[in-house]
Amino acid sequence: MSSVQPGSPRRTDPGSSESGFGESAPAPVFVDQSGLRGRLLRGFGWPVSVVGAILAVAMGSSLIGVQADAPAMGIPAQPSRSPAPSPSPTRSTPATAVSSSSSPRGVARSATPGAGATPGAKASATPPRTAAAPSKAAVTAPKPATTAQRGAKPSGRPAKQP
Amino acid sequence: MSRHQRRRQSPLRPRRLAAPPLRFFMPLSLLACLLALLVLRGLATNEAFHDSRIAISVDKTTVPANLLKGGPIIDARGARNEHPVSYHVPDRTAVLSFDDGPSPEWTPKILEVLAARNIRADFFVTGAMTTRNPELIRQIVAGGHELGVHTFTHPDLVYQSHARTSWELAQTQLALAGVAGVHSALFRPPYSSDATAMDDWNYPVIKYVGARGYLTAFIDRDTDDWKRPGVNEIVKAAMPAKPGAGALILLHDAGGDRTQTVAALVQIIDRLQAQGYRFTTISDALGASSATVPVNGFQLWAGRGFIWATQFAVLTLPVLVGLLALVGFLNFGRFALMLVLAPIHARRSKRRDAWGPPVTRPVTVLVPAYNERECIANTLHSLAASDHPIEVIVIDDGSTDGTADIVEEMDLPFVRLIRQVNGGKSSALNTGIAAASYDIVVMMDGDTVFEPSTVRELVQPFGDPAIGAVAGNAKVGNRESLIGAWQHIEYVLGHNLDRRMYDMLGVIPTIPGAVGAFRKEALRRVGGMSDDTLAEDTDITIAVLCDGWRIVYAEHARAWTEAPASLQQLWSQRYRWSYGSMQAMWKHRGAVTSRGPAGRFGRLGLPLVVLFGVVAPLLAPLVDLFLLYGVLFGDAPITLTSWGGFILLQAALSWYAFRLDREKPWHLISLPIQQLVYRQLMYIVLLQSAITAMTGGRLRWQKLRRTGEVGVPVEARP
Repeated sequence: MSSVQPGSPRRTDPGSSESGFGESAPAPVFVDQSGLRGRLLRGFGWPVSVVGAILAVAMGSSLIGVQADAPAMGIPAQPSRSPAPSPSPTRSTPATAVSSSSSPRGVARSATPGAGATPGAKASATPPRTAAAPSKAAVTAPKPATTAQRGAKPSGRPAKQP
Repeated sequence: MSRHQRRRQSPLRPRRLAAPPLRFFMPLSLLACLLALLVLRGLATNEAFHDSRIAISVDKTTVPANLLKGGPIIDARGARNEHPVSYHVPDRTAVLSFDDGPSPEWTPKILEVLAARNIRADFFVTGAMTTRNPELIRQIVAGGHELGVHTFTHPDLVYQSHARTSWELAQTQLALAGVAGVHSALFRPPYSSDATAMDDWNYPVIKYVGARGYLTAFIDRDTDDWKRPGVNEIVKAAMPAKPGAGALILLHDAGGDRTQTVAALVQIIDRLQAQGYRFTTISDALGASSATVPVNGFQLWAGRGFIWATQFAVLTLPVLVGLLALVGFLNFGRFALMLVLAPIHARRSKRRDAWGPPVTRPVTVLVPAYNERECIANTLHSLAASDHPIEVIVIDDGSTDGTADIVEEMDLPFVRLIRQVNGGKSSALNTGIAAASYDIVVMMDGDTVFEPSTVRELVQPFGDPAIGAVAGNAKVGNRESLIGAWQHIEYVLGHNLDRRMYDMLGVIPTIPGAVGAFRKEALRRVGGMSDDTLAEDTDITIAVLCDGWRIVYAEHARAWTEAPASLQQLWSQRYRWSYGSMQAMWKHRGAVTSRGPAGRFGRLGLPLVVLFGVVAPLLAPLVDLFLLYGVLFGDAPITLTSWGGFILLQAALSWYAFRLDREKPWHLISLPIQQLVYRQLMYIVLLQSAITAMTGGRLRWQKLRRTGEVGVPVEARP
């Protein structure tokens, strides 16, 4: 320990960055008489903080979700339900209500694996499409008139066109 | 340096923020960034905004029959929104669609199979998986496959508002734009099935999504592959019901073990191709343009920014969690040390002859006083009642309110008054030490009140010649107010329990200025009090420790102090304390590499004090950050429960501390609020004082040397 007279403030060498021994007495610990450290840190701190604030705002705004709409996708008029093996996509039938009817299955919803148990009944009765009775091409009538004959169905509504 | 010399203000006036705003702006901006990063990462891992509810099926009264009996692709866009139409996959055409991807384990395998057979398929991807696996999306696009939107967080849209649904779509499109520069016009709702599964609840969702321009693609054939029923079952379920009919097949490329899916995929393709099917994408099956559309401009760059930020967040989180773990480790470590060491200390204190022969010789009590005219009389009267022979020296440090005159008027026989020009508390104490007649010096504050037994209890340890200083037990007198109660809890839990722990380790770093005793010899050896720091009590204690003396805690030497009664005064006091402590720690940093007793303190005591007193409080905002994130964005009940558990732990420890100190525990009622407000105040103060330390500014309490400028702390007044 340095030798001092008791009763007077200690004149040791604190670890502060002071202006040197030759000048007035050393400053208390941490105090920088010249202000250099403060200026440096402030000069560094302002740009960093402003950039940080901008980034925070940008990240926050990326979570707002602005553009929800889908891009345009043109779909040509679809053929009515035809039994032909080769589909002809360019038949011009304005009404695209397809007349294939299927009896409603039971409530079959497929859940994704990570989601847990699937609630609801899973009674999926697959209606057998036996007789492939050709259904005529639908015309512009609001309700297609042809019905495909169906084989025996399990319970459920009959698959009739209204 | 005039910026840092704040004007002296009366503590009664509201205090203007004189500090430059950067010291608040910078931490706030940093915390805002961290919170945003947490949320981004939580989104990517399906932790934030997660909704795992799945709706049941209900009636179908509002769903048009043509849709229920129609094909799997619903067009409710634009003019068709009121009367949507549905499309079929043409005959002899099969479309493979993979949901919930992309995943690094399975998607590459599936892409391989598809590429080997030159087949294009549809991938309905979630936004979360997209942000986590950007490279896979690019591979999907490069392979000519089609992308579809499967929401971002995979919630059941039946339960979500329009705003949430719209957000899910937008966020997924943003992710797709960011990773591959595309948007998609295809949509498949989570938990969907074939067209017959439309009901009154999910039909409005389909119409809403259609209004935003999406084509909703259900399925024809549900393979249930996610249930892993066996490869044969999956293949069978993928076969169309009517031979030759078009089939939109559902498979999954994520969310579990998909080995069966990959195996079944090969068989499905082979069997259907043998029947003359061609495999294609949805848009190609309909004869339409591709549903995956490139984007440019703002959407592209916003997407890229989002993906970069998310990737950075995923990388940064382990660092944050590590720091949080450090805070937790430090706090619990401190708890554990206290729990182990405090009982031992309490037991030792009970043995009255622990210190050797009793000390009966008179001692000197120093009372440095600056503007204490309200309290000085009480102080001196309490000393008059002391049951130990004492000599009291009051050093008036240039008071301007007549404190010295009051002392003179009281004219107590055992009191000596020394007046000096204002020089600060350290110089006042040094004056007193020089004038002391006895070899043991008790130091107190001008507003502290002693009990009759205080001095005696305080000096008994000096019967052991190795002991150089003794810390007393400072108690908060004004504990009835809320702020007073908080400080009371802090003194009992923090200071006293801490001091017991440090005593057992032999590294007490601070003897409270309100009640402490020193050997004059020890003070002489270390050069007396110094005004290098604002915490001269910590400074002198560490100096005495490093000189080789032992310092103990005398819990029965009680002294009553008046704690700051307002937030401003509390802020002021704690600012001085934390700044001063950091000064003292830095001043004595050489002890780390010293030998002997200084080395012991430097390698045991100093690290403990730095860890518990600086590092842990500076990192404490992280706790609040994670708490905020968990409550707002994550799982609120779990977060609050664990926070509650931590509070309970604190309460248990506090109750134990109160019992040790024989304090009534009912003040602990304010503990939860203390955790919410006081803790934050303390770490803000610490942060501010750390910033001041780093920038080298001068605080108003640090007097300019030898200019006579007054810079003494303004104490609280009742």
